[in-house]
Amino acid sequence: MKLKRLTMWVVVLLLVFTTACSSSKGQGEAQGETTDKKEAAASEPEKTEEKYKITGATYIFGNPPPSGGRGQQMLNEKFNVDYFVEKIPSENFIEKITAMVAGGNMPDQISFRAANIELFNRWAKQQAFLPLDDYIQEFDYLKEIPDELWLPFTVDGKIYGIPTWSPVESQSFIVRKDWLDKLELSVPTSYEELEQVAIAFTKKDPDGNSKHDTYGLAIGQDINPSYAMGPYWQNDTWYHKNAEGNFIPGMISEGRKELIQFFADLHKEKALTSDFAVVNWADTNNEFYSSKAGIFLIAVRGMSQDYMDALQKIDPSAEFVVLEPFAAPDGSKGFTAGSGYSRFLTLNAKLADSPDKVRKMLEIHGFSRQYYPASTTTSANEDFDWYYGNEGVGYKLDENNIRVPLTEPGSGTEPFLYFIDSTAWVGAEDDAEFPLAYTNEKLREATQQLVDINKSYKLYYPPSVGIISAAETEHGAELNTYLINEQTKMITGNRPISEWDDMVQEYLKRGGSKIIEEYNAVIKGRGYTEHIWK
Amino acid sequence: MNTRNVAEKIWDCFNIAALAVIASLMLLPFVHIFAVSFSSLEDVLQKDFILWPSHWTADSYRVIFQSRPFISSLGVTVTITVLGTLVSLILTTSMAYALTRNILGQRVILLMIIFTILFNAGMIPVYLVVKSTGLINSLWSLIIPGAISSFNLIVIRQFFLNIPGELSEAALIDGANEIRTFCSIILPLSKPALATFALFYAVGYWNKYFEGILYLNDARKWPVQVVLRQMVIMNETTSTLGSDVLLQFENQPPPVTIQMAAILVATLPILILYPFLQKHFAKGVMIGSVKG
Repeated sequence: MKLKRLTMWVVVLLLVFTTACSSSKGQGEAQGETTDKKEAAASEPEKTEEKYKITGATYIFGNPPPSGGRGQQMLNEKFNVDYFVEKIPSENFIEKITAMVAGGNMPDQISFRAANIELFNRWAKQQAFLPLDDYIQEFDYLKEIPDELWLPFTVDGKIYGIPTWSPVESQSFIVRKDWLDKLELSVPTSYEELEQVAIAFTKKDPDGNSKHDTYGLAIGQDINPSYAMGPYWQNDTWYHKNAEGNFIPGMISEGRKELIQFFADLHKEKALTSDFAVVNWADTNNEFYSSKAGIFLIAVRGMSQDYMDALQKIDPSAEFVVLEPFAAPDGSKGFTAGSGYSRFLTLNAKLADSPDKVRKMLEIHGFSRQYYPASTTTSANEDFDWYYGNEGVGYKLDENNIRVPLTEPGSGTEPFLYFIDSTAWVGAEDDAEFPLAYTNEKLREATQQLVDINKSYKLYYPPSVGIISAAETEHGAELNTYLINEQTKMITGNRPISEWDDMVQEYLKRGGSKIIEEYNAVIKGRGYTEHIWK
Repeated sequence: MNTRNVAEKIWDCFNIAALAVIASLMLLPFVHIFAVSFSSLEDVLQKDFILWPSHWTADSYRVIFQSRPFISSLGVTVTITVLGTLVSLILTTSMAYALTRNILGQRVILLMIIFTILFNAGMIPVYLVVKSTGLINSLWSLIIPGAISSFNLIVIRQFFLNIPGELSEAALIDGANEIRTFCSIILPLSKPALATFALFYAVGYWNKYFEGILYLNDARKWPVQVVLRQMVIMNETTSTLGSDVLLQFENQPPPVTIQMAAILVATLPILILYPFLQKHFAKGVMIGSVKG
């Protein structure tokens, strides 16, 4: 009996003990900042430079490197800091960051997604972030950021966020050149021609295997990709104006209506993905890369090389041509510019008392945004060599002077993996060298075509970037779903396109007019009246 | 007589055939995952549905087993599953047993337990509790906050109540105290219940996902489901947010073959547990359903 009792107690004690152990450790990490500050304050007289503990949080697609890896140690040594950035799975980023902040664990720096702008705005108004205006004058890398990119991060006259570079170059659409040649068709320059090409791809056996197994456009749920060949047709921009001269969202515009008519015609001919309303993004990709569909999306970066390799194995004769923008009925010709930022960095308001720590953080941030064009990189470039974990250990340079990683991110060898923001800032004069991101020759060629197209046309800069509308926050998602559903029905023939105006009225009635009103108030405030093309 | 036999046989045949079809329908997704994981990407892209790889390749598995985060996360999950199931079983059975005794406030405690089935505190309050108990970034945060499932507790208590009271009375007369009675009389008589709830708990711990993200700051401690989701999820993100996200990718998702291999490796261990506990399981799920 005693033995039994003893074992029970041992179990209980063990549990309590291990909990206590882990608790003190967890506490230490969670509140390390405060204790560290005290320690640092105590030892200040002896030290010339304080060793700061810098905490951070950001989102990640994929898996982060292990904490304490070689790269992390190199980072800490180089900058004499104790630097840790928690990388949270992107799907649950908001939930976790909200819980952390509510629990009083707000890290020194948070790097948000562009899509989190509304949350950012709310927290900025509650003074959760440090105003950066003074620091911007101090750091060259911050001075380099163009004025219009500070706009979305300016709340009540103060700047609270630092944007990370993202290309303004537009995406376009890619067509199977070998299929066009086989059918003796030219590269389409208008929707009429694109329609003929898509129908020919469906009916005339472009791959010559005598089977009825190809078609035109690969498209998936949410009518994605948009196949907008210019802002006139684009759904997610503000280009058209209504009778009162106010800008309206692309989703309810005349251009979108034309586009939906175009899709509906193709659907009748089975020239686009037949069950598109239920096809997810991965499967939409598969339609094109399995050599079934002949037309799909291409962007200047982020294309999958694995899939392109697979397509070439399936059809080694595959060739590609990228579409130029179509001339719109209003005479415009060109694509819409990207927002120019993807993520953005904010600092904790509590850092107001430690300007030296802020400077240290910005020094590190600036370092991690240095741009190393492939044409100039050598291992003799110390920063470059260090950033990517030293030649022969973290990377090697191939015959084209392109960096090839030698380890997978899971090994944590390279310092760049550990920064809160490792996206280089590509300045206005720099060449972003998009094609060099790939080793696949065809993908490089196609990307080069897209880059050239972007260079030869002006880009449309929409007036709506960075605008937060309360009505949109409240109804935006629901209204968008409504429009997508109705437009999907119109494509499949379940609702006549002649009812377009009814749909728009319904949209306006359910909160759309309020959104338009709020957007236009800001647009007018910015003094934006005519379309800006640069 | 004979005709009835024939009719019965026909019925049996039909029955077996129908059940076999249903069973194979359940198996189909697994076979598909298995086949895709052993195929090359070109084959997967070209065919709509694969049940058997036309060209066998273990490349996907080579990638998986060379991926350090994936392997270490499997270790984490095995740890929390074993440890968590043990802790949960000890705590649940001992509490359930105590609640079969006439102790002071027993009804109030029971009501409190039932209350937690109907209402829960929500994410942030629970996060605050976990934080203030110092469990943040400790694997115990995946175990302790949910160590006792109220529903399981009530079912086990019901099971204990069905064990004739005379047995524990006899033990008491022989000089056993409550702990001794619990360990030597009650628990041995409850093996089917223990097996069943061990399985319930084990599956629960194996599938821990959200807690892992919320409470653990160090990616080295992530359970396998988080790592797996990070490998597989990226395709879905793009579908909900549109092609704009394409521009934001810093790294591309692994091809579907590797995703399937990862799914298989992450599912198989817990799947293997089922056949071993099945004999108890069939008996166990009915426990507590009929009283007396």
